[in-house]
Amino acid sequence: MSAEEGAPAATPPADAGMTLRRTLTICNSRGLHARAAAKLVTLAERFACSLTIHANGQSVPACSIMGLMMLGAGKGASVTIEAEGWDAREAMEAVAGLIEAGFNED
Amino acid sequence: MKTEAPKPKPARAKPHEVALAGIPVAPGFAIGSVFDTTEQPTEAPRRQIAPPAIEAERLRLAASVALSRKQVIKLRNRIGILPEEAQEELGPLLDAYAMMLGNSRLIRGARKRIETDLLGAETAVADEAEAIAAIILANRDDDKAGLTRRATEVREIARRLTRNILGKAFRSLKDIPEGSILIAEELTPSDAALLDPSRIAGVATDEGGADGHTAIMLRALGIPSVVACTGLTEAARRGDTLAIDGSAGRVFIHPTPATLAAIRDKIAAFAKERAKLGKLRRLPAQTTDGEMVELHANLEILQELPLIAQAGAQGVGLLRTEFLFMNRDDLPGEDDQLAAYTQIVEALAGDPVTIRVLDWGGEKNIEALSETDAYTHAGPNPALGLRGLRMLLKRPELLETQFAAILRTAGMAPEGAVRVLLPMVTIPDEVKQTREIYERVARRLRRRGERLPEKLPMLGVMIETPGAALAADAIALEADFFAIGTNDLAMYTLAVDRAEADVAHLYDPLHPAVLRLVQFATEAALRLRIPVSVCGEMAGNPKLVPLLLGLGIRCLSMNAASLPRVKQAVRALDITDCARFARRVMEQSDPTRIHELVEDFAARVPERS
Repeated sequence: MSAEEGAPAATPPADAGMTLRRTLTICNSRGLHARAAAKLVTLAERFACSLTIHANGQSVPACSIMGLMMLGAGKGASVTIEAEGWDAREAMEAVAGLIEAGFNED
Repeated sequence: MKTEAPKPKPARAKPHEVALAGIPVAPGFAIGSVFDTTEQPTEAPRRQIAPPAIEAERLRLAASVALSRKQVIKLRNRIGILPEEAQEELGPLLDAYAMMLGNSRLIRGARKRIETDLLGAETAVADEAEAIAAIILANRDDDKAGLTRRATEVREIARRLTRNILGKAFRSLKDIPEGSILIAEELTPSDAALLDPSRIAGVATDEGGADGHTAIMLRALGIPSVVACTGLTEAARRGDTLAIDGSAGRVFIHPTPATLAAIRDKIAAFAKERAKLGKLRRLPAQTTDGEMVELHANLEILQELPLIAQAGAQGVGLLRTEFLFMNRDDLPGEDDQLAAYTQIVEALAGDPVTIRVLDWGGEKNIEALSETDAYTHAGPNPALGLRGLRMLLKRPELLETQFAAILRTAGMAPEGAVRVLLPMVTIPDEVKQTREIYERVARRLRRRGERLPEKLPMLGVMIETPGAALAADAIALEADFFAIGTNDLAMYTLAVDRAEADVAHLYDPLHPAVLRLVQFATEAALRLRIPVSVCGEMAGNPKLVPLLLGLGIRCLSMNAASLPRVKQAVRALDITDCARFARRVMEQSDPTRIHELVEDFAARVPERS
């Protein structure tokens, strides 16, 4: 695992490339539970950029399964994704797609 | 909670019928005696340790993590052969479990607690899991049930770890007396994946919901089940008689004679068809003049396994292995595959299982392959492209992994229980090349100290193209057996894709061209005395059995569901009649006339069972 779980997101150094942010609403009925979190982790691990999820006043790396579950983001919760690195754009598209598709669950 | 010790229940006087309503999750009816499966509690006294013991506790934790991961991965492989519905439900959940057992906060936190709080491994795991659960539950979210579920998922994995640290037994589902009704406060999906539908008459639980992981599993397994039966485990005791109506969601403890009679009627109606098959199952597939015919089943998913025994199959004539590669991002490793094959081979208890290596040609259903350069582009005509053995020879590492898993499976099975089948072969040299790889893998495994059978499993070839059929005499010199796949053979011979509505009517396995190819390939095999079977829809059609037997075929592999009717047909036939009939059919060149002959012959065969 690339980042410490549960740790607050580090402030990006200025030369790290672009940082993208997008806020989305969790739309599947079970929210960010274990299965959905596992799908998000699997997806996040495919990208080189650092992906952080903010919700309920907490921030966790997108590749931390426990961290994602601890966010307690249920249906209707608002989450902000932060992607930073050379493939941030692709990563953002992919993660947003997964969340918008309700983790392909409902 | 299932972790609590079972409470002693007050003795009761004369039992009254207790009717409970729950949620029906899997249809069917059952009467049986209660088998309750309260788990051994995992709660252990808190344990402090002295600093010198830190290393030992860390090792205990690490061993438990490794074992737990292995269990979860084993389960993950097991569900690979369940129906798709069950896989979609459980797969990602088990992935999540596996991730939680990786370098997750739970594991790191527990390790830290051993070191800094000087706790025993089980206490450290419990504390860390509770700390995480507390954080989850403290979230402000409208969906309290959702938060609870998440906390439960973390605790579930912690319980598995604790159980493995303490060496406590998991809920044992192995020693359930046949025909029991399993009751529990709640079954986890991991429990459900281990249920044996051939032993368990029904399932009823206190908790659970219609769309839970467990409910979906129960449905997929076809076990009559009712969940959310509040008060069930409180009211029912081991050995009590229980009746289940899995269609209406009712459970009756100590059913009255009237209730029993009603449920029995329903069971009878439900099982009428099965009983018919059961009678036939014990009879041999033998013609009236004593010729034995081997009837095998094709297998695609594990759920069909009980059905195979029920249908009276004498083996698996075609085990498709594509399922192992689907619904996952990576390729199944040798051990993954070994676990899946072993399970099937063990279930068949020595009856032969013919494992066909990956038959894939660029379809989107196997992500790990379609995304790599193994298949850079699916050509305009994939049926004529890089598929089956052609693809495997281009990526021999796939073939090697699969061979290694199959060979190791064979090493643990009785001799002859495993056979290997190669798809999409058109020239003898492909078989030769493959056999070299096969033998190389075997040598490598032996060097590694793996137990392999002295004589390697037979390596056979699918005859599914006109090219292979017409070159069958040459291919037979390289192959140990033939399996004639009539579906593809008809497609390639007649140049008809049945999925194309405009030409589908031209598809006809009784076209003389197809029959002549079947005959040629069969005769080539018989001349060289190698076994030959027919798999495909033709094999499962009772009306075509006389023709196939007349051509010399003595082994048919079909869907398990077709098997009883085919057996019935075999038992009514005389081989000499079949041979004479086949000669007449083979003289014909008009497909319409062949159909007439087949219908006439079928109409003349007397009923016998």
